[in-house]
Amino acid sequence: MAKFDRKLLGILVKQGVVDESDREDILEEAPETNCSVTEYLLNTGRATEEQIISAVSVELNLPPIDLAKCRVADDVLELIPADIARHYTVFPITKVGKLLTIAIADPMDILIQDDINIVTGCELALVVSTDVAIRNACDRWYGDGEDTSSADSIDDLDEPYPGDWDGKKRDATLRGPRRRRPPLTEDEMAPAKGLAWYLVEDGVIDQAGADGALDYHRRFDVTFKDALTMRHKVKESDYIVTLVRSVGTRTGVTYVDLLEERIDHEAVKELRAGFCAARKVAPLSLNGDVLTVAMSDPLDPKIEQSLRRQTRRSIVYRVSRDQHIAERIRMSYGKTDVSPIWLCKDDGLNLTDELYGTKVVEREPKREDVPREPGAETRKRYALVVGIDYADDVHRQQGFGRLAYAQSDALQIAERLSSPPYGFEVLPLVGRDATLDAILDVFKNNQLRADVPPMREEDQFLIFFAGCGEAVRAEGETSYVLHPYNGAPGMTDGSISMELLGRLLQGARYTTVRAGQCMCVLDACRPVGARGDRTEGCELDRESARDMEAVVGSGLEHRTVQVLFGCDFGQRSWEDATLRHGVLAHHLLEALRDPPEGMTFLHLVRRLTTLMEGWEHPERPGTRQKPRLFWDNTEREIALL
Amino acid sequence: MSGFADNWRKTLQEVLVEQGVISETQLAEALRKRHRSGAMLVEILVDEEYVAEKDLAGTIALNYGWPFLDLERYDIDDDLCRTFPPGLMRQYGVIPVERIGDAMAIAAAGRVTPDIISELEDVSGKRVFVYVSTLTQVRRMLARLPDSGRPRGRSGGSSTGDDPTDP
Repeated sequence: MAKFDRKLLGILVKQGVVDESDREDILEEAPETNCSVTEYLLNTGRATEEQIISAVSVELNLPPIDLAKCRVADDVLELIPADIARHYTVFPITKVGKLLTIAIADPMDILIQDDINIVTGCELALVVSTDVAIRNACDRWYGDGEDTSSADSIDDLDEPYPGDWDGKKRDATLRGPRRRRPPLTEDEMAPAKGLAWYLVEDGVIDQAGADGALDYHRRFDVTFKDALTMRHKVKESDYIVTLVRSVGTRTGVTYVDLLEERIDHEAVKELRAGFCAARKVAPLSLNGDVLTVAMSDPLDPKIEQSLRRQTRRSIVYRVSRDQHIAERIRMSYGKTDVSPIWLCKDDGLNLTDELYGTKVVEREPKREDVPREPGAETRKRYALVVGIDYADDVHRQQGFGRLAYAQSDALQIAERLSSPPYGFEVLPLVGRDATLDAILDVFKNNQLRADVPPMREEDQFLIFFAGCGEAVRAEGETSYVLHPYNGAPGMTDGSISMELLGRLLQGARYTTVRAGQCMCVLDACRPVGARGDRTEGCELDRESARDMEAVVGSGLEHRTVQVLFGCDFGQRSWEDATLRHGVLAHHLLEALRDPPEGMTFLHLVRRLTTLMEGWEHPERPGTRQKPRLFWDNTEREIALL
Repeated sequence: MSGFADNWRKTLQEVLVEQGVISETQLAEALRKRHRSGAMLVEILVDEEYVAEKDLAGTIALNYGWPFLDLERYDIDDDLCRTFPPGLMRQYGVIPVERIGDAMAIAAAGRVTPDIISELEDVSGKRVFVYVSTLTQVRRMLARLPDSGRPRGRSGGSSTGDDPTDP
């Protein structure tokens, strides 16, 4: 929120609501009173809510709204869970077709929009309100969060979800406020924590990723599986295999292939369609007093509690794939739909064979078996090549260390990529042209320039960045950022964080290019900071690269993303005056020379790695640099020729 | 992001046909009827049941990047109707829905061109933003306006036969 407060104050100063001379005082005083800037301005009478909304609305060209005048329909309210609305300071207003209109306090944070896009599966139209007004609206429409004594979930309120197949919706104005779901307790978290340990042991996810998913599961109305698969890109098949092989052996949870099971209509009568769709549960069989159900996440305590309120039968749990459960619910109940945004992609792996068969299914497809990719004949290649030397006065004032070769490296890489046999359509952004907006525009517009066709699913997209990058600690978290021309050392604001870059390459619909194959080459650990030794770079640490690791691999859309960092963990990227290049760029230019037929991006990286093995820092004996590739080895390789 | 960047320059006719909301034949027929009646294109499309009004509103909102507002679920100050002359609102098929500081929000059932927005900004002295709403709701609000000036078209379409919200 501190970042947003700074941006908001900038707008208010620009629009004349707040004096420039008061800006720093407000930024200092507001946190001392434990208030957001908006709350502080309202409490001290320095600005009215009307002035704040109007200023942001006019500055950002977004419509204003007075949330006190809105009456929100139930089905719209249900699109964004209360905790998520409060966390991101957004509030749903109306939905028509696939478009959801939301009020938002920080319209400048596209990551918020991305997350809401993921949660709702809707395109978003933004209107402006304040964090104070949105919190009030959340309290009014979701409940103030204090009454958690009884019902705590949508199925407990006995409402259909998400359609109206088994009853009429009640108008939101006719019922009391929705009760807020409390965070999970330590006891309720225990099953997920147990599984997390096995997932880390199996190498499915690293500890930081597991901790992040656990935290998301604890705080929001999201199952541990959804937190793992949606936010950390864990494959559903990996989740199920680890679950059944570890926790399942103790709890008796087994995998069931629903496509092989007949429908037991007596079991179907035991559970309501809306409940099944909302909780991803499919009734399987009823034997005497024992109801067997297939679930997406049999460890989720909330689902178990809800199930026990739905039926008095003894329950046997089995786990299955999301897609199979959704199909089973449709077959059992007819028109019922499970929100597709929360359905994991089916990777086609035969989990019955994997878990119970004598033959272990090979996960990685053999190269020779890979069929020719669809669309390869009409494929086009696009590249965004960025290089910044940070050599202007503004950079000296900000404390950037000047680079010698980043811009010239970028231009040479651009020339090489645009030449035969590669034939990339290239947009070079060099020096002062390489602003944050110019870079983001390529992603937002899904095209390099207005005169270049938009990218299609069969196309390839490559981004090369030569410049400063560093690990910045802000708001308790470390994030590795790339600094565009108008970035600032030590600031995440105005820079491209790994989380943002990950989403730009493989995020939801709001921030991503459409090309089905994306390559990212980051020669970004070059020096930051003029005060120290100019040749000192910034080490790439594991924490910094975590977000990028998380987004590589299977994502929301079928897309291959491979990311190449200029150096390995604990290393730095260097410029070499004897080579008159950045080390990575020099060897990349070499590796791109005389490519063998059928060269893939992976081949290129291997060539590059071999070439760089021979490099040693001319003034620092023993100092080397080795590129690091992030990729998912089950994905198709990216053919460069 | 299905086309905010691509579609905002396009006319409503182009968007509706490209998106497959109506066929070219339906569009040609609707344009003929518009020429005869002077009604707005969106009125003809909805009244002739070429498209459901909510689908039409959704398509307009999605393609022009405008938010949708359900006017039956938003309390509109009566004073706001005095912001613009009733004849102007009927002519363009727009209704003011909110005024916060220097920002003014209007609701419309069709595309509102930049020229119309400029004119409304000149009249109101405010920055004007567009919400999309359904034709029925906009018509209902327009019907509440004081009767001044001769309405043009069924709910205020231009008497010239041109569609002012979609030239």
